[in-house]
Amino acid sequence: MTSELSKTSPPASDATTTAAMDNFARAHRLSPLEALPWLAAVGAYFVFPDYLALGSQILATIIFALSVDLLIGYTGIVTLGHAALFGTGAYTAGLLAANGWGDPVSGLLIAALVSALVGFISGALILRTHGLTLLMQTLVVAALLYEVANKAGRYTGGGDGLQGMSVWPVFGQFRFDMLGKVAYIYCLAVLFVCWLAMRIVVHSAFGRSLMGIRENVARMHAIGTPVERRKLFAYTLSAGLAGISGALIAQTTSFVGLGVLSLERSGSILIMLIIGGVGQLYGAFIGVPLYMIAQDRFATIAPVYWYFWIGLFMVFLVLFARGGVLGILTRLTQRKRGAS
Amino acid sequence: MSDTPSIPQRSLALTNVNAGYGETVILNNLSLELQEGTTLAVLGRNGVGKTTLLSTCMGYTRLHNGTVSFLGQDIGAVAINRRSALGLALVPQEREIFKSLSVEENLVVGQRPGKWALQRVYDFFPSLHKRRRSRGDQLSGGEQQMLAVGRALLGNPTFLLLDEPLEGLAPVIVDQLLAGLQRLKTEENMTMMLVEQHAHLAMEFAERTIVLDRGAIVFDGPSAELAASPEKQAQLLGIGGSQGR
Repeated sequence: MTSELSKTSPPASDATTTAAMDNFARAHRLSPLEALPWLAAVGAYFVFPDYLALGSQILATIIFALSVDLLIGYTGIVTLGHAALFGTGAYTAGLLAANGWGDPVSGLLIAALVSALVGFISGALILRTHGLTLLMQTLVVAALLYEVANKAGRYTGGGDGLQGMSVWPVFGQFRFDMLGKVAYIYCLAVLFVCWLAMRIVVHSAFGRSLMGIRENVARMHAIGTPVERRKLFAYTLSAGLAGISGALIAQTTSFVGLGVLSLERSGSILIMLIIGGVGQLYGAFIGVPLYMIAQDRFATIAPVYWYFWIGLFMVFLVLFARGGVLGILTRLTQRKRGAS
Repeated sequence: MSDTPSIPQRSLALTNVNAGYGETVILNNLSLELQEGTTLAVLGRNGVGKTTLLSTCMGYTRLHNGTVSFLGQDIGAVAINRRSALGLALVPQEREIFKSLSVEENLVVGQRPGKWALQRVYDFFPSLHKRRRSRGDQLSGGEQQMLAVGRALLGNPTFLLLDEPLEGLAPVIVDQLLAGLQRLKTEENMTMMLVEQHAHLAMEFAERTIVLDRGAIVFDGPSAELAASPEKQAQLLGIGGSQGR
């Protein structure tokens, strides 16, 4: 039966294509505010030339936080073991560089692929579970890989860490310098590509389906979404991003220690994300610099008690600022708009 | 498209179904057949298995015995998302709108290719178009219900299962929603199964009614027959003849 609507409408395929293109353009439209983190990052390069090493670590860690945000913030998969995938990327890039393949870009891509593969395999096993069981499973994966890296000391250096990495110049031209200028620009460029990919994903139909899964799994099943497949794809994608982050840290520091697989790393990235704001894409850009700069400063002022101040800040956030710093900023903006 | 009227095919069939939650059996040896393009009202007192019937069609319950088939295919062991892909869609009682997504995102999140596209849903429910940028948790009950129906339609189903869609809505919204459902029935020939507490509205809307009691069908016939018999209504549903909204 043909309805009146379809008789008067333009051809369905044309209308659908146009509407889909409009929706895509609207969803992916950039806001001027989105330039802020990039302006800040470029500005920091000139304003703080003595802190470029810390800057590189921050930029690489933002990618890790983005990968965790894709899981926790967008898909609702809570993990306490994402360092497993970060560490896999770090060790992959480190082992390549220590064994005669020091090209950073291809090393980064290989690390992303290996981490994604580990994510795919572990995800296929652990994503069958939910809640507390899933949380434990993520911990188990990280603990297993930690022990593998510890026991395989002949290859990984075990507790002493992986030594002897030789990272080649980027594109054969830009050698990593002592001041960390090349490392900073390299990390910034990789972060930009990762952010762009992440932005496209979360604003796509796939990204919306992840948010649907986060909010109501049963309903997503009922509207025909292959929930388990989507979750596994998100997990794999997130693992790839985490691997890139780990590889960046390995390449820019020329060292990989067991700490890259530790529970502490999995926990601290969660704290950074909570400080910035979970599930908002830019929470990572706020939480990671805040945490790492605070860590750097507090560690100088009070080397033993620096975690106390981080803890105090977390208590404040949980009590008074749910949604993190980004949540506070959003509420202030809304209040200002409401008042005007 | 051919103008020759097509012979209605069997759409959904439940045969000797015993189903429930875990070990608890709610539906007792229930058999039911629906032809394509028909509308069925499912009535009964609270707790007799109306929602369980819809849930069983969708695959949420445990099927202890019997068969559930859709368009000739046994779907008893088919996953929920595959049933949706086959053409079944459930509009749940709680609406289950994704609160953090906008109206438009809610609509397209489960969109599948077919004759139902976003603009068509907006034409059907113009108020959704006006609120398309609003988040799910900023909508009124009526708008949420329209959104739940619209979201189901964008999955391009051939069979709609509606669980108390009129519950808690203002009379003017009830009229709007019923007008939309009526258009689905007359213009789209959509097969629909409607669970509803507003018995008279449901009987007005659907040509066939079943009444459930303790998980079994105790009345199955034309809605007009039940609507014309206050005695039967009192006996089966426990309502007086004047109860409407």
